[in-house]
Amino acid sequence: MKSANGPPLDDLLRAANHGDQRAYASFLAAVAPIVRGIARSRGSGLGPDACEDIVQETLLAIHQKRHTWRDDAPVRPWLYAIVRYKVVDAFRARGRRVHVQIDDLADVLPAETAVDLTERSDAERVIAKLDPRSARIVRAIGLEGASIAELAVTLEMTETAVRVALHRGLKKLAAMREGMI
Amino acid sequence: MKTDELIRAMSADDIKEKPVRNVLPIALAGAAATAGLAFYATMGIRPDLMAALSQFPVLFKLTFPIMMAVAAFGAVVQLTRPGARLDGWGLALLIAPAVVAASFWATALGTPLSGWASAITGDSVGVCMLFIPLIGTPILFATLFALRRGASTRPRLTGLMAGLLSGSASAAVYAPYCTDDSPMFWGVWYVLAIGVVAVSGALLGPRLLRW
Repeated sequence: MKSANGPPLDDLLRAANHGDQRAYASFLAAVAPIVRGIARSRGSGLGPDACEDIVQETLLAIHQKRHTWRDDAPVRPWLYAIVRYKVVDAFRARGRRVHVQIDDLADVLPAETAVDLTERSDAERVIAKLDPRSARIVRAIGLEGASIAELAVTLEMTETAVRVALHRGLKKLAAMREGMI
Repeated sequence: MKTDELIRAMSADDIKEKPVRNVLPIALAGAAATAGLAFYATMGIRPDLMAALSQFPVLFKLTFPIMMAVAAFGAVVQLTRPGARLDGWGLALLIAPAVVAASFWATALGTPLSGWASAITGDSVGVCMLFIPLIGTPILFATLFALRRGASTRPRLTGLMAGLLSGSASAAVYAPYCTDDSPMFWGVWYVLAIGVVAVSGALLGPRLLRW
């Protein structure tokens, strides 16, 4: 199966798991519209901001659990099971019950245009609660496109320490969103 | 933060967690060894263990919990992978219960009805029902915490399977101590004791396996 246009999701995630960061970014970028489509179709009364928060929450969950995919299995059953679980969970956390069938996910119309959640997103509120160094690293890489190597120089840390801080920061981000909404 | 920016941050994070199937054996073995050492340090192994091993019922008593644990391990690892099927593990789960049922009935049919009650009661119901769940408790917690690395989309079933695994491991640890060798004894009480741990796992799963 193909993502909208471009290599199949399976190939992207397989390459990503072997260390190809660009393939991983493409994978997440291809998954986002699918999640957004299902979030909007279920959460019409919720508003686009909250839907985008759900998209981000689900992407963070996919990121945290990417090691649970086996290279030799098709990626979509795995992906859809995660999306279904997290979307239902995210709506439940906001006091709504939604039903998502795996078949709906295969048919959902991908929603490409993201809402610009610059200041008001849940992610932003949660990043503010990280330790300052992790928060700075997550922001610098995400917003300014800084590289690990550059940050290591600026922050006078080893590259390994930067990588670990980024990893822990994202992990905390996923965990805190689980608890705060 | 925009979604694109979040994606950029995530794709720079190249540290991968260890998969459940690598972490779980360590957690399981660690907890079972610790609990087993504590148990045998205070209670001691049965003195006639070597002699008893030559009897079929004893052999089954010692091995059915291991067969159950192996199948539950395979099943629980599958359950921590979203969208994965149980594959052959669903059938593998039936092997140990079949061995238990066959052993129970083979013995029961050779025992006069008047002897059933004493055969089932044995000498050590209380000890068995106390220690299998007791040894199983640290194993269950170690198992559940290892499973948190996974991504179970069915936490209650995963918890049940974790409990089955832990209870079976506990029964395997306990069995060399126990001198009640009749399948009419362990076919009832071991199964019940393992069931207690399994149900505990099902109750804890939805709390501990959220992600």
